[in-house]
Amino acid sequence: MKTFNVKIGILMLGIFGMLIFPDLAEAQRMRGAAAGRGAARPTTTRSAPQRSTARPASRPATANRPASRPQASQSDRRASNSSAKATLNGGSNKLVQKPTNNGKVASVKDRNVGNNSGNRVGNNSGNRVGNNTNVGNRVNIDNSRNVNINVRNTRNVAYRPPYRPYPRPPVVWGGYGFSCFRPYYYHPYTPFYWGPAWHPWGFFVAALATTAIIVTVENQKYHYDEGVFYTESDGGYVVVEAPQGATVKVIPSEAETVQVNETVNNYYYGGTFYEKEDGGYTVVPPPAGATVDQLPEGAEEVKVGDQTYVKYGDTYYLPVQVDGKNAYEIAQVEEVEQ
Amino acid sequence: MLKKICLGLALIVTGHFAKAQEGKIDSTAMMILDKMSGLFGELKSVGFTSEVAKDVVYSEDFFIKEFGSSKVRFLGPNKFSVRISGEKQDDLYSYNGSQVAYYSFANNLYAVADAPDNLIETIDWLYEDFGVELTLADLFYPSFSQDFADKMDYVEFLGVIHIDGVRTFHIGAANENATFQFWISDDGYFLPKKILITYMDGPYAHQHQTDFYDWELNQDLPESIFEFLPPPNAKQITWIKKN
Repeated sequence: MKTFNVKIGILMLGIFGMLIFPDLAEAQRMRGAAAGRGAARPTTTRSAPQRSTARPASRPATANRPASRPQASQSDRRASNSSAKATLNGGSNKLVQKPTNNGKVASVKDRNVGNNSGNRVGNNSGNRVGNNTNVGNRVNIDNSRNVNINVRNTRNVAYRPPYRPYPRPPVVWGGYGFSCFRPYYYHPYTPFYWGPAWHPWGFFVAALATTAIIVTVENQKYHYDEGVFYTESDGGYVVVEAPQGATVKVIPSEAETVQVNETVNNYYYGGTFYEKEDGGYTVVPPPAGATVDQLPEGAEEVKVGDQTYVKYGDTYYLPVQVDGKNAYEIAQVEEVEQ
Repeated sequence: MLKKICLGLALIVTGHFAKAQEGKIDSTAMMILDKMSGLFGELKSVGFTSEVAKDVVYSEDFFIKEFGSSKVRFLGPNKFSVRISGEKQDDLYSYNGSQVAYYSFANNLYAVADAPDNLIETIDWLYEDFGVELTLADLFYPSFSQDFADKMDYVEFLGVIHIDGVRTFHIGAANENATFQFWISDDGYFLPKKILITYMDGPYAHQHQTDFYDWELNQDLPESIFEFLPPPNAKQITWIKKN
């Protein structure tokens, strides 16, 4: 009995809801009407006398239809119908306006590609079309602040050549040969975040943790903390590309091991490769031929011929699969004679 | 009498040798190619479906055959839409008169580049800057038959052949880099039915064969089909050019 009362209650609530929100009921009717129209379609095959009698009865809604439309828009449509456009209906009123696609073209050694500063693709600056899904990932990044510092390091090398020869000739593109060991296997690039202490290039912080240390490379002073390099700027600190040759005592324990050759391993964390030397870890170029699972924010997908690489800094990463798992192989990109 | 015959024979033989040395451009073959080129010069729009089979380098000394098809629509003077479906790709190139958009159906990625304002320059630019070769693009050049004759050492009409029940003119051509074979329909329009190119410039010869179907001539194509609208969640990427 109690449950019966509850059911009656829900029913009443439903009816009440319909009365308050007539749109809800309307939507259902619209669906029903649409279905009815679909079912009624085959009647066109009926003979003429039947059709003429059946039609008014089966379409009572038509009388209501003009009333539901705003008069102004109706007259607008009529006007466009009689326009000079010699098409079926004078041109449809599109819901989606013609897009303004911005051309994005670069060359192989363009340093502005795969770079957090300036005109990178995939930033938050709003001229990106059709990619609003990643916005939620980027709430922590303060792009409103104008960072005048160059987050890139011009002395860095794009890759370390592999220790074994490639089995296939390189794919030549614009005077450069692209070589990889593994076959191309596309998977979408999703920026990876290594944790709360990790930040992408260009990220601004007002103060550093007390654990931060100072590292000097070729007379340039950097601050290092938890796998991230900073330089001083504008009363705070900006994350920059890790300078190759910098040696630090500790790298985050989340760093993964990357096999460079049979005797050497590198450590990969936050887009940076480290090699263990004399008790410290030195920043080294990405080893061509090795693979990593994730790439950080700030990388960018680029179309090179028939393949889509991910460019981070000056390094090209080819989307591949390793034991059925998505990964990126560091590509060798060297100038070739044509 | 005998002398005359000998002289005649000698003339014929020397004439033959002379001809062989300077290469042979057959006037019948050139007339047929001219007809085909002339038709493209007159068209306002053209559409067709093509099936492509080509040898691709897999590794050194090893070619594999790749198959693909494309649906092509050109609208003069400055629009095209080419949908290429291959073994691993499903791509669209569309040109609206000012931009060329590339879209990968498989990966939901697109790239856009500002293009020249006419078809011929855009086709050239796509090939030079981005390595994109559109099927049949060469045939659209106004000077196709003249350029072809200039580049070939040898062009000859090889006879009438039936392919899929269609009467076609078989034309062969060669230079030091490649041999070309055309099968051109004998239906008044002189449209290509099949084109086979054998490249001889590498260490191994390799072929590129294209079959053509479903020609649509001078259809009134609406301009909106050449506009690219990025699908929801499609990601724009940078297009890396060659130069």
